[in-house]
Amino acid sequence: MAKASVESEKKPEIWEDTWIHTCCGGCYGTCGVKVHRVNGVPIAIEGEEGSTLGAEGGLCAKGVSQLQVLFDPNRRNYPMRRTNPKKGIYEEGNFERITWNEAMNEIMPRLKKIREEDPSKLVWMSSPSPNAVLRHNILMPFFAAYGPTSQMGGGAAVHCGNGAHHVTGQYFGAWDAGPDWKYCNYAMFFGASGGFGSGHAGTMNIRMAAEARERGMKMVVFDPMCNNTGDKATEWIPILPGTDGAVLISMINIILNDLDIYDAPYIKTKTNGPYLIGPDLLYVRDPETKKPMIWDTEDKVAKPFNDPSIKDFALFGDYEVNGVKCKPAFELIKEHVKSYTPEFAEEVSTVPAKTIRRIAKEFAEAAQVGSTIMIDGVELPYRPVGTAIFRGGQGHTNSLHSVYATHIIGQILGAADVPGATIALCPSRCMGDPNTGRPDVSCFADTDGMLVPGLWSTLQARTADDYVPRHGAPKVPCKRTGLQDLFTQGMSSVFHSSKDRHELWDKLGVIYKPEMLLSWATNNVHGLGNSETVAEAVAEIPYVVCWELYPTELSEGFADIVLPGTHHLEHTTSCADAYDLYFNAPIAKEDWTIHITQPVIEPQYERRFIADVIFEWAEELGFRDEYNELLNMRFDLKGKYAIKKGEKLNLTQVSDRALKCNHGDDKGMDWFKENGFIRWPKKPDEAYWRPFLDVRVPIYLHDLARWGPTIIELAESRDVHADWQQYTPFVSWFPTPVQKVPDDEYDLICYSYRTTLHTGGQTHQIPYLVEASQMNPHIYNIVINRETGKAKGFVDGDIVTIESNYGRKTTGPLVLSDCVHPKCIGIASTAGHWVKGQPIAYKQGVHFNTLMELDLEHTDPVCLSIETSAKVKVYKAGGSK
Amino acid sequence: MRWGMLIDKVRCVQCYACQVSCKQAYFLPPGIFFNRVITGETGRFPMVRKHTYPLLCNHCKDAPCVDVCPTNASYKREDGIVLIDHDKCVGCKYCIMACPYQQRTSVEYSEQYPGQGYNDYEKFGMEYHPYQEGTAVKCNFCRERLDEGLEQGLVPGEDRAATPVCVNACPAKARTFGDLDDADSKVARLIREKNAQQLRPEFNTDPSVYYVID
Repeated sequence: MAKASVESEKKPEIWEDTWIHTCCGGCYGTCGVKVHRVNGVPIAIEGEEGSTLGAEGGLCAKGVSQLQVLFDPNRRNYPMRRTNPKKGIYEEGNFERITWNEAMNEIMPRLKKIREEDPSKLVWMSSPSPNAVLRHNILMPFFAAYGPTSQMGGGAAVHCGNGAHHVTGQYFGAWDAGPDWKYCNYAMFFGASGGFGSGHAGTMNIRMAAEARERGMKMVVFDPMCNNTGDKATEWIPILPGTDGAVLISMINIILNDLDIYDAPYIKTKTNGPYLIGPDLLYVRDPETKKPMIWDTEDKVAKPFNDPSIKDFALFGDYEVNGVKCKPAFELIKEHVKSYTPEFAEEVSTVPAKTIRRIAKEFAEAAQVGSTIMIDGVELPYRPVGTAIFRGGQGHTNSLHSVYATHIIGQILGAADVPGATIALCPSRCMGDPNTGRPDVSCFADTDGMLVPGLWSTLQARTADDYVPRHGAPKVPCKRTGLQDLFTQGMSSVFHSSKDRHELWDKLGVIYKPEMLLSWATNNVHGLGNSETVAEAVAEIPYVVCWELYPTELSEGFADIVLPGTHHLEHTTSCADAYDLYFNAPIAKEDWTIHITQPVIEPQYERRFIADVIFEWAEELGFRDEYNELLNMRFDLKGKYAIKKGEKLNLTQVSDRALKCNHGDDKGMDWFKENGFIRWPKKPDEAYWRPFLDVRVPIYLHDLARWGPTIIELAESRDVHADWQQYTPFVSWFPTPVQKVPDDEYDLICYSYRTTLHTGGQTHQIPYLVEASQMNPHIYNIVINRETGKAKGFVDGDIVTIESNYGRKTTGPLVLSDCVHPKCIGIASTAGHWVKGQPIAYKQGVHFNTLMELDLEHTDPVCLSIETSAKVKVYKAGGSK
Repeated sequence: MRWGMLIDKVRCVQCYACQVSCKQAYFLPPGIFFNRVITGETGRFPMVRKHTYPLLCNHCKDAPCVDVCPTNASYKREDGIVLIDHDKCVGCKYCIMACPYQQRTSVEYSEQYPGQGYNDYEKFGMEYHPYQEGTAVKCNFCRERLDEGLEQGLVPGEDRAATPVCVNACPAKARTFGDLDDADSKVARLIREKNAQQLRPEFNTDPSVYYVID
C-alpha cells in the first residue's frame, strides 16, 4: 500500500476525469444525478445541480451509495441454471453457470409454446423499484402484446398504493398527492413520509419540505411512531394503525357541522356535491342526455350538471325530479358524517377527542376559504392547507375509504391543486416544452363530468366516453388470478399468491395452469407477505426465471434460471425515466426538468439490460410490430418519429425519437447525454390547474354505489363473502381484522415503517447503508413503547419473539423507546434477509412480512390493499444481544 | 479567515447523505467515519423528540488534539482547519483520547465485503487516496477542494467544486459553509439569525461548527 501522507501524497496519473448525467434508481424517486468517473472507475455520485428533479445537487444516502452495487462481488454476473432439484423457502439453488444462448434455448421455446397454447400460463412480475417506468413503458407493453398473461407481484401497490393511487387519480389526476410546500401553512400527514423518507420525487420533496419547515409551516403527523416524519412535525399525534379514517371523518364532521366551514362555490363546480341522488343512491339522470342532474336554485328547476344556463347549484334541499325524490349529494354527506363524533374517533384511534376538535378547527381556519393569491400575475384561489396519506395510512383493509377521507377534507375546503393546498404529486397537467408544445397532457372529464387522468403512459387512449372501471365492468367467471375482473376497483391484487387463492379461483371460475414465471427485480418470497403462503404459490409454477442483481430468497428458493441484470448505472441509454411524468416530475411551480438515463460504466461480465432482451424477444416471438405500436402509444411518438412497421430499433433509438418528438430535432439523445436534462418554466395554470379545467371529483363515492351491488351479487352468487359494507358511497371507517382481535392475549399491534436509508428489501446489501442502520437505535431492532416494555419486564437488547394471533412468528432484538404508541410495536423496512448470497444483508434486521396474512379477509374488498399490521403478543426468545 | 459550518437540525431529515457521501468521497473503510449521524431521543411519550446530530470534526479554535500531539502531526492552519500530517503521525492515539467530541479515529483497512477481497472501487481508493494504517484520521473540511477551488477563484460555500462534499450532498440544504470571520458571509449571518450554538461549549474548545437546535 502507498505510504504517502494526505498532505504530500502523489496522486496516480489521471487519464480520465469526467461527469456523466443520469438518474438515480436507489428508490423509485428517479432523482437527477451525475456520476464522477475517474480512469474508468465511477467514484462518486451527486445530485444534479440545476435540476428541479431532486435537491439541487443534494442526494440521499440511498442514492449516494448506489455505486457500491456496481462493485458488489455478490452480483449475479452470468446466466445460471439450478442444479438443486429441491425448491423451498430455505433452499439454495446451487446454480451452475451457463451461456446466454443456453438460457435462451430454455426460455424461448417455453415462451413460444405458452403463447400458442394459452398466454395465461405465463406469469410475470416486476417491481417499481429500481425504476417504475421501465416496467410501465417497456415490460407492460411487451406482456400486453404477448397476450393475456397472468401476474404475480411483490409488495408494491398492495402494500402502498392501491388505495392511494386510485383516489389521487380520481381527485388530482395524479399518482399521488401532497402539500404544496412553498405556500402551505398547515399540513396533516397520515402514515406518510414524502419529504422525509423516499417516495415519488424523493429528494425534491425533502428539499421543499425543509424550506417549508423553515418558513414556519405547521405540520401535524398522525403516526403510531415518531419516525422521520413525526420527528420533524410541529405535533406528532400517536394513533393506532388503521384508524386514520375515523379521525379524518370526525374532523370532516366538525368542519361541516360544528364550524359550518366549506367552500360552497368549489363544491358546486368542482365536485359531485350538487348532483342529485335518488333512493337507489345513484345519480338522478336526465332521460335525454343521461347526464347527472342538479337543482338550479334560481330557475328552480333540475338541469343536467353541465347545462350552460345554470345560475346556481343547490347543495341542500328535498327535490323531486321526474317523479324521483332526491337530494344533493353534499347534504347527504354532511348528514352522514354526523355519526363520526370525535368521541367515537377517540375510542377507536386513541387520539383524544379534544385534540381532534382542535386540529380540525385549526385546519379549517388555516384554509382561508374564499381567499386568493397572485402567482406570476395570475390570481388563484389560495388554500394553504394540505394532507397526505401513503404507505402506513393506506396499508389496511379500510384503505380506500381512509384515502378518500384524507382528501375529502381538503376538497370540501376547496384545497386542491391551488396554491398552498394538496396538489398533484406528480403534476397532472403539462402544456409542453415551449418550443414544441409537447408533452401535452391534461386531465379531462368523463360523461358524468368526473376527472379522468390524462396520462399518456396508458395501454389505451383515454377518451371522454363513458368511463368504465380500469378492468371493465365487473364479471364472472374471472380470467385473472388477481380477480380484478370482479373486483374492478382494485389496481393490483394479492390473490395470485394468497392463502385462499384456490378456493377463490374455484368459486370464481379462474382457470390457472401456470407453466412459467418471469420475475424482474422482484423478491416476493421475502417482500410480499408471510413467506410460507407466497412460497406455496410460487412452488405451483413449474419453471421460474428470475432477472435480478443479487441472489434473492425467491431465486435461491425457486428459480430454474437466473439472468444477470444491469444496475441503473449500467443501463443502456434511455429516456424511459422521463416520460412517465406522473411517477416523478417536479411538483407545484418547480420548473419542468426532463432527464435521461445513461450508463456510467459498461455492464460487466455478462449482465444484460432487460429492455434490450425484451426487444429481441418481441422480434423472435413474432409481435415486434404490435409491440412497436404500443411503444408509440407509451412514448406518444407521432408523425416521422413514430416507429414504423418492420423497424427494429433499440431503446436508445426509441428514446432518441421520443426526445426529439417532444423537444425538437436538435435535442435527441446526444444532446441529453451531453447536457443531462432540459428545463423550462412551469406555468401557473399547469401547477395550479384546478380553476382552469372543467372537471369534478367524486366526494360522493358514486362508483361504489354504481358497481358495488353488481360486484356483491356476482360474488355472493358464487359463495364469496367479504366486508361488503365498504361498497358505500359515503366515506366511512371500517375496523380492520386487527382491530377485531381482543386484547387479552394479543395485546399489541405490530406495524412496519419506512426508514430513509432503505427501499423495501433491496438496499440491505449495501454496506454504507447497513453500517448506518447499525448505528441507528431503531432500524435493525424491534421497537416497543418504553413503559409498555418495562411493564412486560423487557430491557434493551432482549431477544424477543413477536407472534401474531395466527401463530406467525418473527424474532429479533428489542429496544424500548418513547417514540412508539403504547399499544404498538414496530419493525423497520423489509429487512431480515436469510439468503446467503447477500452476505451484507444476511440476518440484518427483522423480517416483519412474516406476520402478514394474505387472504380476502385481510384485503380491502374494494381496492384490494392488504392489511400491513398484525395483532401480536411478544415474549422473550431467550438470551440478550 | 476562519472556515466554519452551520448545521440546521430543523432542516435535517436524518437521511445520512452527509455520512455516506463523505465516506464515498474519501474511500473510507468500514467503521471509519469523518461524518457521523447519531440519533437518540429525549422526553417521555408522547412529548418526545428524536435527537439527531450530524457530527464531524469541529475544527476547534483551541484544539486539544493539537495540544497533545507529541510529534506535531496534528496542526492548525491559519484559516482554522485542523489537519493531520500522516507522515509525522506515529499512531499513539493520544489525540483520539483528547478530543472531547470523539471525532478522531485510527484508520485500518478492512474489506467492504468481508472475505471477498477488495473490489475495484476499494482498490482505486487505496491508490487514489491512500491511508497510513494506524494513524489518526478525521474530517479536514475537504481541504483539497477548498484549496483547489480558491486557486481557481471559486468561493467555498457558494461554488460546489470548492465546498465540502457533505454540504453539497444534503438534500434538505441543512448545511452552510463559509468564513466565520466575515460577518456578511451566509454562514455568519445564519448563525446570528438562527441563534445557532456550538455543541458542548463547556469543553471550551471554541468549535467552528454551529448547530441550529430548534
